[in-house]
Amino acid sequence: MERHDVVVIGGGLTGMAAARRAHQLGLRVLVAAATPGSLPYTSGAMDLLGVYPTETRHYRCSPWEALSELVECDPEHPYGKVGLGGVRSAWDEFAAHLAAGPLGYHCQPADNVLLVTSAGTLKPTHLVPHSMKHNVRAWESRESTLVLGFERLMDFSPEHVVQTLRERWPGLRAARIDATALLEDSRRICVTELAAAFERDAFRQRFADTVRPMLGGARFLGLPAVLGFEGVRPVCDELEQLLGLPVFEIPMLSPSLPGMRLTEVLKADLLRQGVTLLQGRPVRLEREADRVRAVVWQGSASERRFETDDVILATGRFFGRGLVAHQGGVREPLLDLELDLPPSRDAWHMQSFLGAPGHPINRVGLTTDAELRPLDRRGAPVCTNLRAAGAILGGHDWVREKSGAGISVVTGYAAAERVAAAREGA
Amino acid sequence: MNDTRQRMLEALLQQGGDGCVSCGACVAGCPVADWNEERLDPRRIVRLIQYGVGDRVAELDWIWHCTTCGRCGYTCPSGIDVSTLVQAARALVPHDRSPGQIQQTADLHCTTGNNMQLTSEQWLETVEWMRDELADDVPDLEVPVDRCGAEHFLTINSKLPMYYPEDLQDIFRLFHAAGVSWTLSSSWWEGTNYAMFTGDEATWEHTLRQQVDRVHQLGCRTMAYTECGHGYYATLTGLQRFGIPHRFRVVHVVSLYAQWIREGRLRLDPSRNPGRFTLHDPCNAVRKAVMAGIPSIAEDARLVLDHVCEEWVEMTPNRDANYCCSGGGGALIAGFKRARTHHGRTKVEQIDRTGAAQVCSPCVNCLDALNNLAQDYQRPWKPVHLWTLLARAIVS
Amino acid sequence: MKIETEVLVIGGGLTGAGVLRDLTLRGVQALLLERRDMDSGASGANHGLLHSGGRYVVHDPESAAECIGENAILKRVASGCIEQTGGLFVGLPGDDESYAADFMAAAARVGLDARVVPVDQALEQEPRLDRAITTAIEVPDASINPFMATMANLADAAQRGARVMLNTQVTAMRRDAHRITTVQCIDSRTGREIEIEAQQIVSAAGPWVDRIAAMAGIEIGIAYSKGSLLVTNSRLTDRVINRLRPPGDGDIIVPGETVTITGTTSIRVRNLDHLTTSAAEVDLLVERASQMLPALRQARFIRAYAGVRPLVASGAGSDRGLSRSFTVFDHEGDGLVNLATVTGGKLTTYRLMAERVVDLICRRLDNHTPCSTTQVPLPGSGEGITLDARQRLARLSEPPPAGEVLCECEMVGREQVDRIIHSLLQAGQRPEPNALRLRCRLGMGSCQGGFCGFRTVGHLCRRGDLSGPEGNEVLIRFLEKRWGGIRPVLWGEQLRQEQLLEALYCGTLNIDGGL
Repeated sequence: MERHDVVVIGGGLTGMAAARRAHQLGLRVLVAAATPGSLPYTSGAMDLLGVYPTETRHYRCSPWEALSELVECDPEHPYGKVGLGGVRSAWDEFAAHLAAGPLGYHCQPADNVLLVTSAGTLKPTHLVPHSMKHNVRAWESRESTLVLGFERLMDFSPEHVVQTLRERWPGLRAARIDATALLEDSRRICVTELAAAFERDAFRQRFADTVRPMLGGARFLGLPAVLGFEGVRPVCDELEQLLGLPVFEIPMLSPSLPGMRLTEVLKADLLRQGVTLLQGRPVRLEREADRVRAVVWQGSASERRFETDDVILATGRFFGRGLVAHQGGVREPLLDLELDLPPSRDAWHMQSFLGAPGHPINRVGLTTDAELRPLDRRGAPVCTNLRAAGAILGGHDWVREKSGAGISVVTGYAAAERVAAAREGA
Repeated sequence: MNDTRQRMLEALLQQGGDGCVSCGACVAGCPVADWNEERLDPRRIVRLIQYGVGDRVAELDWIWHCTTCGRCGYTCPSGIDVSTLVQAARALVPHDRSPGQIQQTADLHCTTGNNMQLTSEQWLETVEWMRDELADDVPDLEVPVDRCGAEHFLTINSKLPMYYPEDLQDIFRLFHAAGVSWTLSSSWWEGTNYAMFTGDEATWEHTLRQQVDRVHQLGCRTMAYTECGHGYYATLTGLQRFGIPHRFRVVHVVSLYAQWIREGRLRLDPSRNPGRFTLHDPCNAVRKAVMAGIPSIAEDARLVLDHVCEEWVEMTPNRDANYCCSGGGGALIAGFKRARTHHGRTKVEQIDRTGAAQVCSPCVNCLDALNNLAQDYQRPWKPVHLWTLLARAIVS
Repeated sequence: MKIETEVLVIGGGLTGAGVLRDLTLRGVQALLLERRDMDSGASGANHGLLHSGGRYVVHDPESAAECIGENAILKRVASGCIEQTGGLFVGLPGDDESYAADFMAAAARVGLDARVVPVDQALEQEPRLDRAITTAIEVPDASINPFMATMANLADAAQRGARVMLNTQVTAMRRDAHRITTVQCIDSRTGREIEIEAQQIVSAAGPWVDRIAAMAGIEIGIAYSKGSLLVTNSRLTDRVINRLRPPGDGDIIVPGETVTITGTTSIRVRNLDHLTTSAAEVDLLVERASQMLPALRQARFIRAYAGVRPLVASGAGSDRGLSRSFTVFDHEGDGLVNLATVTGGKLTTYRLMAERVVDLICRRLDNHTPCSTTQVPLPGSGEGITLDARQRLARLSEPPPAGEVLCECEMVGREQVDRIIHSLLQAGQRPEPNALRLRCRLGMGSCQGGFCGFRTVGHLCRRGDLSGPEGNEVLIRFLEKRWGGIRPVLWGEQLRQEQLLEALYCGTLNIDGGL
């Protein structure tokens, strides 16, 4: 039986941010995650706030301006609960950490930037990994750019990208190469095999030799996000040297290597700091009156019990099963809370998939007090020592606001800070 | 409905298979995906079962290529562990039709008490021989056999007496230096359980019970499980699965090493192991252990490495995200050598990236698999047991 | 543009396709118009059930007899579109026991091969059935893929010189006292107007026959009966499962190759377009079907869809009381000698419907070639050929080359898709994900086109079939179209699927952003 100061349930961005902050504040932390959550599926870029309000789909160049408005108009929004100051300090700290790390995140502290995606659409975001730095610049400059794809890699079509943007960016060109010839043996042409290949010297050389004659005066080279695993930064730099022009990655759907890399980096950080991380099985709560006594890891053969003073619930929404929707409603499974939502399932989603402002069910989540403790139907905290953070909170629509990473980091930090403060006060 | 199809569909739905969102995370992390003629990967296995062709899954070679490393289940956002489905499918294959030598090995274990069919005499002769070899170096070395009341019952992989007897010397040296109470056993000393690989639960249970009885007979309070992944996993999960009462705890030797270091029982000189090392986390003793709820050796192995060498670097990914050595799940002796070598390319590249000269590999099967890869891919790095590094580093 | 032909067929569902083929087999020159893509009506929104006739033996023996006959015929001539699953009628505690007795007696009367089987045997064959079933009767139900059947009919007809014009809508008809002289239509994609002069016209437009008839100044009374169906993620039964009681809602479960389809309802509607399935309907279907198959309560549903049955109105009474048999109108009473309408009926009887109306048309044309659709197999059908999902999937050893799979859920490869694109282009159709979806199983699996839609658009851009910003327009259209069918079943695991896709499309791609 092992004792911790705080157990964070959920190993995604929220959970890891909360764990990071808790550790900084001197707490002994354990993270228990049933699944990898949604971080590995993200583009690798970190969104703070891109659209506000969602009704009008108003793209905001300055997330801080938008945040000021939001915090004032919507105090129940997770950003509202944390407050502008809390958002700023958490985000700045985390951004600095990512900038200093192996993925070399960049940000223009004031403004959002636009990233070219694998659909040729533009994605507003705030922090961009090193491998996508030139993606932003290429679009801003509209200079001659070659978008290169791979034969048989069906997940990325340079033609799709270029055709979508061509009108606004006449200097954009598409081409493909056959990677089979560049690989030593017969392998699938897929994201992970290509990434492994890019981490090899010999492959990079052959790749550069093949691509050089195709560049034709281009000032940038765009590629699908396959430029290696943890070694992506040196890979990009070396390709730039070999080819004589900046190289950038373009975010893809799934698998998304930039999201996977960020996940690994954040995990490694926590492990280095001595935080215990368990992944792969669900947990249950052991409660006594209005407190959580322990978090029980439900291994497939045996259970493991972790006693703890505090719990941070960072289990996300439906994808990570932080919330579960049955035919008649939505439940939070660990506290066994039924959530309030439109009575008819017909009202959960709009008639249109992509239409504004977004689906009502996406705004449903845990209501919390100022301590970020989930409240029951009567408005009282369900457990005095359990706080919630991240997408599981109600009152936001991160997918339409483009605020996912921000909500995760900021509320993760806020929850950890409240845990630490409460301990101090106790 | 065809019984096999029905059982596979049940196994799938129990795993939450209806929740597959087709994201391909399992495929991205699976070294065995889509190379051979069957063009399969974990996602496609789920599809086959969903679509009512689960019986075909039991006929595939792919389920024997799979090393049951569990990385699919680990990365799946829906919690679907395809390695468990592979196990379910293997269990539906008649034992005499499982490929290679897996079942035969399990049968030998069952009938003779060890995989190599060694008699008690042969085993103990080798033990004595190796002890004698050490006599000059460690004059007061004692290697207890069948000592009643000893604290630790040490299991040994029969490959050691059979093929790598020198490793026994390292182990003896190490246990002696730790000054703990321990014993070998003349019978039921094998530190593996290959029956788990073919889904032969009857044999798995039988051999486990025999060993449990032996530990009880000797009155040991700890089963010190040798550097092995699947044997450790099969033992701890088997005790649960078959409801076997036992009056001892099972501890992986790596955890014992770490404990001894923390207790100051070992004086170690890390300069005795020069050069750069890296660490391979055995799937069954780390990732699958975590998912089973049994202790993982990941942090203990790191503690030990910190003390036995001067320079070591992590592979990426590592711990429970590590890639399989390519030899898990019986793949070492399943007979698909060419495929296995190809599937090891991810592992080879992972090791290459560390720039290490030696790969610490605290599992006998992993070590064999990595040796094969080093040979097939002509790599200079050498796999090595943790007991070897310890034995070298011990200061008398 | 002007076209002359012997016979014009209006309606590209299975009936229209069957009519076209029958005509060509009798040597008639024919042209078919379909305002959208093939099977965009009831033929593309049904159970996929090849009726044994068991459902009708007690209350509608005429329909039952038709089904029995056609069931046997189609299993011969359309064998490649049919999986011979067999079927069971199961009774549960509380069901009217006399119905079972009536059933067997009625079956004997119409010649339906029905056998009572021991409950133990039924449970062994179908372990997911509720253990409490009291009776089980085996019947020769089967599963039919209507898209394959329509494609086979159209392809065969085209081979004999028939012309098929999809995306072509009839807008008006000009007539004199006795004949329809010209039919005006418009190609909905190019806007081109076309005038057709035909000696005879067959309206096989399903529930739209009243609109077609109205263009000729004729009134046909059609009641629109909407039926909703649900598709599961996994194939849960081997056989068709029916409820052994008077026909009602949610009492049929049909295996559809890799999935299970359950339905249906019967709701009067007035609007034929924009059919939706409400949460209440879905819940009703789940509740009813799970009485026979409890596993459905926990099952993941990937799609809901609805089709409209045209019921030739004959007065009061519930829709279920109306005969499911079909009607052929010769319109001679309305003073027209060159129009015939065939409507009503069911998928199972399409061939017979076609035969009857083509008999009428050929009489008028003085063509005495007999109908041969009972003998001549469709392309892809014949002796020893069946549609067996397991066979298809077992051929995984001949899958697409590594890395060239477009649809991972249904394992559809690039080569197959390219072949379909080629045939679409040849027919003057635009290759779009939805057109591909109808012609292979791309997009019909768990993710319902979420991932393969994107890959396919990328592939089409690569091929040059899409240009400019069309790619994302096509993609969004595809996503919105599939959304209509997914929205009603969004809970549990399917909601997780959609949450992931929304996060990828709106988060990673910002495709909703308009930037």
